[in-house]
Amino acid sequence: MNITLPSTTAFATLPLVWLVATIAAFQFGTLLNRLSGGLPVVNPVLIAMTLLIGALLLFGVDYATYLREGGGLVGAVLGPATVALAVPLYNNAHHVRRALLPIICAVIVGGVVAAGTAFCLAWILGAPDTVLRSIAVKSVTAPIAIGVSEQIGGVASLAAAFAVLTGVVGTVLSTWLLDQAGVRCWQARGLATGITAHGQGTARMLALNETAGAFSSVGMGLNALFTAIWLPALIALMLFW
Amino acid sequence: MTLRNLLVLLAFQLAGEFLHRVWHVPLSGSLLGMVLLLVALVAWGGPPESFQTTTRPLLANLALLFVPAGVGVITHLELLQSYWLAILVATLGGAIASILAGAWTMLLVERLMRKRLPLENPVLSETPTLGQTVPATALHGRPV
Repeated sequence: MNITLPSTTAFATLPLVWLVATIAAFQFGTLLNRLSGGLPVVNPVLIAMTLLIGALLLFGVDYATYLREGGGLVGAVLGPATVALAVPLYNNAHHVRRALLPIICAVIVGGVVAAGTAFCLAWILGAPDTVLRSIAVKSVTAPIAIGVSEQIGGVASLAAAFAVLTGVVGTVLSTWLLDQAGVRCWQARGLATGITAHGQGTARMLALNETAGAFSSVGMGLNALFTAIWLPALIALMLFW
Repeated sequence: MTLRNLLVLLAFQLAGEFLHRVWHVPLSGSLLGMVLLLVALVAWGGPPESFQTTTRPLLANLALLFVPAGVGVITHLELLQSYWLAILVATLGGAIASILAGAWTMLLVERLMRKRLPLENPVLSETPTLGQTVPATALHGRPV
């Protein structure tokens, strides 16, 4: 009997195969994270990203096919989930109201420092213009980073990638860094993490402490709001000169 | 997770997309949807418990939803190969600087406010004071 095995390419372009792969890779990352005792550096998003990129390269599947065959479905849930962030925001609104001025100052300073430091460091190290324009929005949550970077002449998918990378780095660093800096209060820890590591930081803060999660989503939301306003204005002003 | 609650979330996102696309509000549809839902929750007087049974599982798995965008790195591997050092240093440096700047600014402004209004309750009432030992479990909690 002669059985012809289907080619791996046929398998790799099956409908929904990348939906299964995305969830499975993330679950695997979560498992590794649990086995490591919850080390932030064993980040499920980073593990899933690495595994999936490796698999796509191995099977010669492009990103558009990945999105079409399931990856896009996971991404599509991000919209309603972002809307749902209003619930923890509301539940902690009384904390936010009492600390309104410190929050607004922290978000503005944190947002400006995030964009300014990243831009200057990349510029000093000789990154080209498109990278500079895309990296300036790195601390803003991915869907918003895409919109802002297009406005200021960056590349949308690069901006999304830097935003995710910053989310991973910020999430990995925040607990350790804030311990080192002696920042104990959950409000400041959450807010700073949300300003820097947007959705991923918020996801981690929500898992650690509900108040930190709420402040993190406040930081993420306000930083996105403020950066979307001041960054295009600043770039326009610089070009005007 | 009821269909009605999911419909509410999607409707708010759609309203946000409308503001973004038609009225050119320079914020993404989902973020505008979040703002609109927050306004609605204030008007409603809080989210009903049944609504939270839909939002909780969505938010608990928020990290998974970022994976497809992250995989998008694959479209720029060449650029990453050429400028990986600049990108890594900028990402790392920017993240460290903004975490510290954000946290310290908040604590500083809060302390200044407390000094100016000594009779009022501290702004961050649940805040353990700096230097106070916090059990390691309280700092690290459980993993994502």
